[in-house]
Amino acid sequence: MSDTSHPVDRLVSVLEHASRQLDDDEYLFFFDINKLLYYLDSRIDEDNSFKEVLSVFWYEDGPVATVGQTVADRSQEAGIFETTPTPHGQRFHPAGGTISVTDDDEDLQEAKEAIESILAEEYEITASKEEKIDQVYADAPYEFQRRFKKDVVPEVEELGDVLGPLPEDVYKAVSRAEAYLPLDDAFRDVNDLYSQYLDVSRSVLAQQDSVSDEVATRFEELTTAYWEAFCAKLRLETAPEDADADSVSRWRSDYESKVETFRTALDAFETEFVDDDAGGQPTRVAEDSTWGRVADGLLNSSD
Amino acid sequence: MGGDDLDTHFVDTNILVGHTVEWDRLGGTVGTYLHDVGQYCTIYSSPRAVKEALYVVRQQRRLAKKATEIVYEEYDRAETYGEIEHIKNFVYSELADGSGDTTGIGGVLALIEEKENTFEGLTKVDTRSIFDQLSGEIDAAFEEPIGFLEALQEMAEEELPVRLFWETATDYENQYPQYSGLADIFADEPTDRDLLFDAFHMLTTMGLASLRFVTDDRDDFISNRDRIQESLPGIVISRPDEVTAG
Repeated sequence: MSDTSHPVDRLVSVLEHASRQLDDDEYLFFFDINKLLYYLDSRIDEDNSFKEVLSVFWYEDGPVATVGQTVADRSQEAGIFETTPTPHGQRFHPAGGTISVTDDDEDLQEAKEAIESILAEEYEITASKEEKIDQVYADAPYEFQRRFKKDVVPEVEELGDVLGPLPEDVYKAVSRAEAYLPLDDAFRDVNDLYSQYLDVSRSVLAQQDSVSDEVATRFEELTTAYWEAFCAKLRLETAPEDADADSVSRWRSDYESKVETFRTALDAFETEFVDDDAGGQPTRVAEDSTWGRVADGLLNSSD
Repeated sequence: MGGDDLDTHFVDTNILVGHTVEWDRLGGTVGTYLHDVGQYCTIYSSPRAVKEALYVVRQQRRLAKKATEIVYEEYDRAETYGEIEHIKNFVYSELADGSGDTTGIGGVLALIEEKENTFEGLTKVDTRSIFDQLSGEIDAAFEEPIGFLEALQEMAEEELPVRLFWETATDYENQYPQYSGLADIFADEPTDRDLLFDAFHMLTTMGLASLRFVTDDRDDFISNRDRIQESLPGIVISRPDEVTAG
């Protein structure tokens, strides 16, 4: 028998301790497990051994622990949770099981106390998913994430609804979010995809009183495709330094695939819904226009 | 000033960006070139350059909005009256720090000057309506140059102010032995090498004796032009001011 428990099992033991803090009718989603691991990482001491296994990266709904899926799977195997499928994802119900760890040391105790405190004070299990997302996005590495999730996605989801926003207002939300794109050079290509998405949004939504159900549905799909591509890039750029090479390679392939998916969706949307009849010759703008002055500054700056 | 003896020109990305403006007062070397020479010469470019030009213009829009966001969210309203030079310095330092790259900031500073009253308004009151107004004005300003460049990719050749050479290749390395030989020049900007070979491919496939490659890019093209011209006979690398000097 090993003198030292596997680090993942020790983490599962912490999650077991969390399960025992829940009321009879309470449960977790996988989303919650990731958020609890994130808060745990932020609460424990820098020299706590759990730090080594609690690497975090940012993805579609906020911070994700690299071991989140492993911990969730292992906790089911150990009977700590049993799951039931729902339209919103799997629910993890406490099942009373336990996992044996041989080294109940100070690090483990600190982690258990931290998770208990997080559940009591910091993370409300019964809050809505939107409230939980809002809470963690305060720490997001890029403001664009919060802006997109809070300002753009809700508008897009309600586009076309009877009491939903005007198409013009959806376009303006997409436009405002462009200001918050990351400045990092690593994001330049995915930023340009957003700008192309914005241009198509303008062509289809600006100055429109309404859009068809088909346009609304396809625009929502396009928006989701962009978010997935952005988050795939985000995962690469926020990957922990100790992430294994195979995972990083897989994430890079996933990013390239999601970019391709978005480009295809964008081209299809533009082909089907953008009116090509722009009317005659393309026009150049006057030298004393806003763009004329910007172009002059861009082309003639001494830098 | 008469016509250029090399009267077929191939222009790079920056010249193409400049081509979205109707220059009257001859703004800088690019504007002067386009105003003076454009009427005497046939100007070509390639779809690759149009794609790059679209990127440049959209990036300027992103930077312009970023400047708006920076001033709205982070400028210390209590610190000082928001005089425009102070605002420009603030934006310059924030953008240069954030991205580490000052490319394109000249355009953003020009925008701030042009929208002086609105940017000063942003520094005086904490109201989102001015931010939203400026965001909308920026969108409106960039709509035409983006539309111009997108139209280049779609319209029939005889209607275009710039002709596109469509018969570019995707594998110049196998077609031209010079391709790999020039790799070191374009190590930082490999698409520039492909753009150069779009021009050389046009020269060879159209049977031209010579083709002037007009570029404002001093780092790659101009500083290495002797070597480029020796490798690619018929290609003449020129700055726009060299062409208009007569």
